[in-house]
Amino acid sequence: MTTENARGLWVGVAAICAVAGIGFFTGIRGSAQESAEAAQRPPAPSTTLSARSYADMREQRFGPNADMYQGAFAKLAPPVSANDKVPPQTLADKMAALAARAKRRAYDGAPPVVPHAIAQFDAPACLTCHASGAKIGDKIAPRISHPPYTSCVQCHAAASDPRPGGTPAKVAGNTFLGLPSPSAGTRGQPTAPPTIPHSTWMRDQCGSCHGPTGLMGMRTTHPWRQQCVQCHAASITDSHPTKKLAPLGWSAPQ
Amino acid sequence: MERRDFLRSSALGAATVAASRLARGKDGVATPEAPSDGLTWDKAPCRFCGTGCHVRVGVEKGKVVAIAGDQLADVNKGLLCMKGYHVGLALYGEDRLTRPLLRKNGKLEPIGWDEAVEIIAKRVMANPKGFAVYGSGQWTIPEGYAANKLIKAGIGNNQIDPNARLCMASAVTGFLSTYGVDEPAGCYDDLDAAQVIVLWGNNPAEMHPVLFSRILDRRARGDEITIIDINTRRTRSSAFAQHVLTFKPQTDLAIALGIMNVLVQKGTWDKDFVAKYCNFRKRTDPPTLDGQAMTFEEWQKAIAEYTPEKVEQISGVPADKIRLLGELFGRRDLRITSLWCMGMNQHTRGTAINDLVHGVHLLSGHFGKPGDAPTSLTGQPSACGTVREVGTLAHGLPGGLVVANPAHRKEAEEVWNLPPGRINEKPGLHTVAMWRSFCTPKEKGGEIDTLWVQVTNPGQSLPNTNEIFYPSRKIPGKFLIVSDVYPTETVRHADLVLPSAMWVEKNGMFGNSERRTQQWFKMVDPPGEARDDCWQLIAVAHKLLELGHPGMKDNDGHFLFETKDAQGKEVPIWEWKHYYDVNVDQRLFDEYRKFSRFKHKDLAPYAEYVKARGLRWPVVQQKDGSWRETRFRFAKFDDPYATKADIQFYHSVTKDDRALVWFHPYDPPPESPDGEYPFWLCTGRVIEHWHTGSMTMRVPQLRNSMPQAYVELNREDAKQLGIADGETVIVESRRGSVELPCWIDGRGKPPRGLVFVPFFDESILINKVTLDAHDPLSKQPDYKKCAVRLRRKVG
Repeated sequence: MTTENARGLWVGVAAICAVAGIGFFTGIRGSAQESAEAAQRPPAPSTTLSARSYADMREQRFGPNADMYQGAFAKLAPPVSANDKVPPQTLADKMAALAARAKRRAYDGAPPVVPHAIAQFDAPACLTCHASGAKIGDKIAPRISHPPYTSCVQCHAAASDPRPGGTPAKVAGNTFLGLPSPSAGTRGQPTAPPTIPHSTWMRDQCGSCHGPTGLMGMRTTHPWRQQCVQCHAASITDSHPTKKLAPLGWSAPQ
Repeated sequence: MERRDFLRSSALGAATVAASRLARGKDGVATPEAPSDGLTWDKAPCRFCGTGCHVRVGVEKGKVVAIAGDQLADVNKGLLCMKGYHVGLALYGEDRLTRPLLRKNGKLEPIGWDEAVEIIAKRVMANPKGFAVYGSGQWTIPEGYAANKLIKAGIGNNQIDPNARLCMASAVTGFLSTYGVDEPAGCYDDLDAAQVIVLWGNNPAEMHPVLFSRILDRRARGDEITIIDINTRRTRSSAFAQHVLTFKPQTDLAIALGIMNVLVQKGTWDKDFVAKYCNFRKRTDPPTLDGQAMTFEEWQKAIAEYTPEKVEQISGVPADKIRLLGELFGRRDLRITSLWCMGMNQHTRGTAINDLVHGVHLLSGHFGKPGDAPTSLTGQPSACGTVREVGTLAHGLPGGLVVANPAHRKEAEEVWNLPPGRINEKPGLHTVAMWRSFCTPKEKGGEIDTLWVQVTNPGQSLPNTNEIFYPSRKIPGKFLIVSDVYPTETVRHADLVLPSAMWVEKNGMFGNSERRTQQWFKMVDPPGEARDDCWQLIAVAHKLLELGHPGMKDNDGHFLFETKDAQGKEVPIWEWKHYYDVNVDQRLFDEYRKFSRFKHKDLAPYAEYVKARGLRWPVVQQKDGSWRETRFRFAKFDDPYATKADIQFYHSVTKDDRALVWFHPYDPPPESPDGEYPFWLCTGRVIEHWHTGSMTMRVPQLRNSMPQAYVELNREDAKQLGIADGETVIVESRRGSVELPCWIDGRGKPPRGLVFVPFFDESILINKVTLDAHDPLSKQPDYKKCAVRLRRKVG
């Protein structure tokens, strides 16, 4: 490439940037004005839906996950790597993580509720984000912990009313106290790897919760090691269904 | 483990063992395995739908604290749905009923159990003919058996009918009129082998999710499965179907006839199967279960008019889609399973459409091989077990016997040790007639004056409640007794309320859609003074005995529910403190089991069900003493009673081991949209909620996901009516109206001219709007189609 061509290219790039910049700032000013005008408009009658202005449209993203991004691309973190240094985690981190998980689960082992809106009719596109997991800003879409089972909404209920304009009646509360999640496995001796303190039935992707995007306090200290069950033994009986279930030996009196 | 922790958990463990011994009765010989910590796990079938998944119930300190899918269960193989995972929470709604309540001066006030039992017994003594029991497909098998015996052997008026009349009665009449005996020949194993699944008005993605994902999971593993969704509105199931055929309500009859027509026109019906195993029938006027014989040629002539083009005209389904279905059924190299539930059963031509779908499978030979089956699914956990098998219907006796048949009455009188002639030959009133009678003053012929409702919520689930539920509440002398766990719409209108134990608060047995009988033990105590429904029935029976009711004694003068302990001493099980001295469930089941032999519905001994995650009847003992269940009924390779040919319909109506292929013409529905009421109304369920929502609406995770009913409306219709998404709409029929928010392109998508409303929400009682017109044979009402109009609520 000659120097002259390169200069031409630079001029071109500069021009494009300038136009984009002007357009961007003009856009912002336009939207501010429009918002101010919108604020002065009388509210629309309650029986009709107010039309969205173009400014609103740009500010407000659509789709089920609209509120997840919060337009925070500036906060976009670099991709997570298994070789990243793991920050130190405290017991307080772990307790906070367990408390956060408990908010979305009725008991240890219950399928968590979906904290964002989802498509109601079609097979929801959950796997777009949850197949391999994603992290945008401070929002984490955990990787599916049970890849063979993908009829997601069979088990995962939405956390909030999906319908517009609903006015649900009040109903009585519930006094159920769910089994809390275990906070740690046991160690045979201080340097032994801890056992897995929870059921792993139908779940085999430990990284979903314990990987580099997991909640602080639950993350693995050694993300580069992938074969978790090589060292961490199961400790809960339901991985061995024939043990400790209903008392099979009971027989009717003759 | 710390020493203190160890002591604490040992004490808890001992307490839990004590509680579980109590559930098994003191005669339970072995001690269950002592738990090593405070948490114990035991098995139970899920409390909700008819799929019959098994769950593992985690109990700690006398409360259910966790649920897990049961890995040993054939039905669900360790998986559950959102309702199943949260079933444990259904016990702990804050407003559980904990004391008997009697209406005094218009207000429900607490009374004692003794008084409550006495009030019921005295009303029965005052007018035995006017007493009726309205039961449920959620009754456990022993509960339903006790209620049926109380009415059929004791009170003698046959006035007992269940809510299952609203749910699967047409499936029963379909099986009876086709095979001469009730319940599906196939089972869920068919879903593992079928290459084509035809959904007839069925939305298993929401209603039987575990079965649907059993199909989808096969697809994910690489199996090629064609799903054909024949529906009146697009649902979540449609999203997974290759072919979606949306028909005008009621015209499913024409679609089935069209498939038969294509099979005959193309000559691809299974000639060998038909020649060996089928006879042909047409309906009579008035219709009967047996109909009238016709030859194959006459039958062929009758269906000749239902060409794909004609069917397109009637149903709106394109002719080439009818041909596609006909061609698939014409292929012998495919395995085809049909699934249906309320779409075909809640139908004024329910028996006819059931017959026709069986007919399609018989004609094409898609029957009796794994993957080839016409299979009806049930909505309730024990609609099959307690209603169909125990016979808690106005005309029924246990084991598939009927009161109208003298030989059957004799059999039942022998099992029950009753004097000959004790059982009344006249069937009682079916559900709609029973409630109409209860809503009619005595002087105008409304004979039923005391109605005892158990384990169901008719105030919300009956059709046309403005006519067949609420009027009774204004007629003096009509007394409504309700046994339930929460203050439902029915409880709010009751005269006497009895608080019940539910699910794992009592021993129980259920029977699911695939003939699987399941058992569980009591794991926790019911709250307050709540007691088992079965105990309530037995306590009233014993009070009747004390008051001198002649029907409460058998031939030898013993109490109908006489129960002895291991030493042969009578146990006063009518006293609550002694009810769990023995395992009453086991005693009742042992007696009931004798009935299971009459129609080859053999059940195994109770102890076998304790060990198993359910067994599919007929369960027949092998030479080595073990008990073997049957997966494919009437098929020689699996059913021990089919011995003569590869397929043997050994309860054949025509007594020649053949099934009947019916001709039923298409008839229009009793009410169709017109200028005044221009829309079809279809009602149904959503995945979050089960039936009237009395349990699931009290589970926060399910309620938050779907807290209120809505009306689903086509976008174009909405535009025309000037209704925007989320606005409040009034849905009105000739019978009643409701106000509710509208949801466009939400959970389902109706075609133009049809709206859908789920019935789970007690604040939006859509059954004030529905119609109580019913099938002439099954007496099952049609909740899926009536005419309504819509308008936006102004202001």
